[in-house]
Amino acid sequence: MLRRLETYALRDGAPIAAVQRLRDALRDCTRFIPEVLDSAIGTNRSGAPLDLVWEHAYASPAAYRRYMAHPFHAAVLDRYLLADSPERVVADSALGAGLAGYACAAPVYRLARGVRRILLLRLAPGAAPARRDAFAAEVARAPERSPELAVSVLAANTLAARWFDGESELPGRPAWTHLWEQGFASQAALDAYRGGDAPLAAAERCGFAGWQDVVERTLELAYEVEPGAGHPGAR
Amino acid sequence: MLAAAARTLQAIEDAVRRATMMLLLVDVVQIDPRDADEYLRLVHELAVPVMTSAGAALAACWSTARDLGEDVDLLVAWSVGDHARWNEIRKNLVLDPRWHRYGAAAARLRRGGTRRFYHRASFSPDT
Repeated sequence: MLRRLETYALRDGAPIAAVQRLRDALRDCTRFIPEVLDSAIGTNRSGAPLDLVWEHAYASPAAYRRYMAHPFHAAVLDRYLLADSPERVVADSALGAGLAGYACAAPVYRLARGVRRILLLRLAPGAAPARRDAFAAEVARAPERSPELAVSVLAANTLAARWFDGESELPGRPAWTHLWEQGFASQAALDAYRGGDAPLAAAERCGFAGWQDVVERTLELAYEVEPGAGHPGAR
Repeated sequence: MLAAAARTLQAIEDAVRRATMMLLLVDVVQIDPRDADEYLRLVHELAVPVMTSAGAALAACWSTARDLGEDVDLLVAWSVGDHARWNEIRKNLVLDPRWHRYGAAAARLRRGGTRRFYHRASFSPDT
């Protein structure tokens, strides 16, 4: 499977109706592109200057390639997104967080309803392998220490450089090397995690103190999951 | 015999052109009449080279008159083959910094507009 996330900053003055059409098209695009799985959107509530997140997945790179060439993608989604489109409602962002994702054997990211938190990470390329492994091990222990974490997936951000076909690496160095995808039953659960005693939550409150040789930079997104057509949480 | 060969070649060229004109990307934008010349310059000098090198072809560039007391409607149509071909073109555009510069410059002049993909009707004349 391929897990994929797109994030957007909305253009100042973008027509509200057009923004809503984009939201609806992203959220429900499974109706037109059956290859898109687990489609949901969310309005970002972290401090990052990004407004909208679209989370979704594909059964395989081949399914992803069908999405990329699908008429609905080109004719409807891209109408609001491409840099030269007269109907663009999004703005350029220097954060390098426009597209992220990873390969996974099963839908380990799945969250029917609740609050999604994405922590984009740039791990230091020069970090000692043993330290990177220790960080990954600490992340793997996080759900035991914090029962609020209903979903916890740490993955290399492999899709950022493979956005065209899901497999071939394109030129350019992605800004974010990894993502830690989290899921919580509610905002209260997320708040409890953030303020709790779990080692990584405590470290994060101090800029990942104790891990600064591994974690160079982070970017947080958090949103209430709005499930689309065909999503396990759809009503 | 030469005339027959020329007719055959012309027929082949016409068939190729019709095949590559199966999908048109059409933008219709509204521009202040005072900015129409500048917008056309952007299309001609920035968009055409970028889109052409990405694999698209300019199919049409038309505009309404500037002395009607209203915004100019400017239509730009690109022949992009089909959606599979457009996917490749789009990749090339995303990787080209010139395309992003063109998009930003054009956006500053536009007052509105639409983008649609059009499919050719079988009886539509060649342009």
